[in-house]
Amino acid sequence: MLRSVLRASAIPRVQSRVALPAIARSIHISARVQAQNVNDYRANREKFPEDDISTRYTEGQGPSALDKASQSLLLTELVRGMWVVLESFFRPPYTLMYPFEKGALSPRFRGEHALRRYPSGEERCIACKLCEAICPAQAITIEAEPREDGSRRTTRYDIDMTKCIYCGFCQEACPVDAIVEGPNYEYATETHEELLYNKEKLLANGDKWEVELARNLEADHLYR
Amino acid sequence: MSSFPRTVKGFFALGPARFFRQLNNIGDTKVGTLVGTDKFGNKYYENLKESYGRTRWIQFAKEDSFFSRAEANASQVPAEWHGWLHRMLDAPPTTDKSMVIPKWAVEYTENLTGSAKAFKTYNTTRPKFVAWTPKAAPRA
Repeated sequence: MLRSVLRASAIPRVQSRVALPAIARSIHISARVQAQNVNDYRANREKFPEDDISTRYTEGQGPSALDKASQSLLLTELVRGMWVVLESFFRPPYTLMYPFEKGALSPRFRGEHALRRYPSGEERCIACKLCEAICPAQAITIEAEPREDGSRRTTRYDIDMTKCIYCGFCQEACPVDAIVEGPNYEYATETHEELLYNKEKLLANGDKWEVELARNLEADHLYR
Repeated sequence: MSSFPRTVKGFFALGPARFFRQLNNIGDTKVGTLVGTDKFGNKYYENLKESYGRTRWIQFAKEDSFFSRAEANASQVPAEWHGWLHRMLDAPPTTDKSMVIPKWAVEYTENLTGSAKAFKTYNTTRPKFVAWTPKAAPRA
């Protein structure tokens, strides 16, 4: 008994699988029912010995009744749990001191939206409205007109950031990489109105974040 | 304050001024090498011996202090340094030659909500309806 207590209070390990309770074992499946039910693994246990839990612990191998009783009476689970607490107490904390330290981000992170430009400075969006069509939250509103030089551009590109669910379908739908979800997530506002982005705001976001947007798209180009 | 020995070590490594400054804002003493300073004066540090996830950090130029109201803001990290601080990129922008800043890039601004410069949405299209001004024909 003493040996079993010492073993139990040592380093926590994978809990040994206890045998089925007596009531469950007492449920008897007759040979006739087993023969009818071919898919029952209990009926074909010799075919799948690795699936059969009952073959792992044959009679006399599992913990004895005395072992189980001593473990529950001496509260060894409690001791093992407190040991884990004690170990964590002496380890350095995992706390990230935000905003001085920040969590890791993926280049695919879907944060604040931005409209990008070509290296020449020309805006990319051609008003194809694919993003508006695919948006499941219907957060995007686009209106378009031919510009003075004849090229088709948007006159309105509004995103309601409070409707948006940040699924990223708009940037996947975009044929010219114009609308993207950038890496910024620190754009919380005090009013709802500030989150109703229009085209100018989205273009300004693109101009602000283009350094990083280009890098993130480049990092992902092999998978697109 | 993470642990007493770490705090004492930090005191001797940082000196009293930076020690109290860090305890006042980061809440921990962090010793590392200065990787660079951005155009706003924020300083970026790195220590690869720190525990995972805490290897890179920023010392904001605008800082909370005992005498001034809170001015440090998480959104003050400019786009050039953002990827490095969030551990998206290995190289900081000081040594990264492949980082291209376009000519039309605008000045980075922090999140201006709550200030007078906060974004206020407006219509970008021309009005579709014009108010009707009735003209009464002169009576004979």
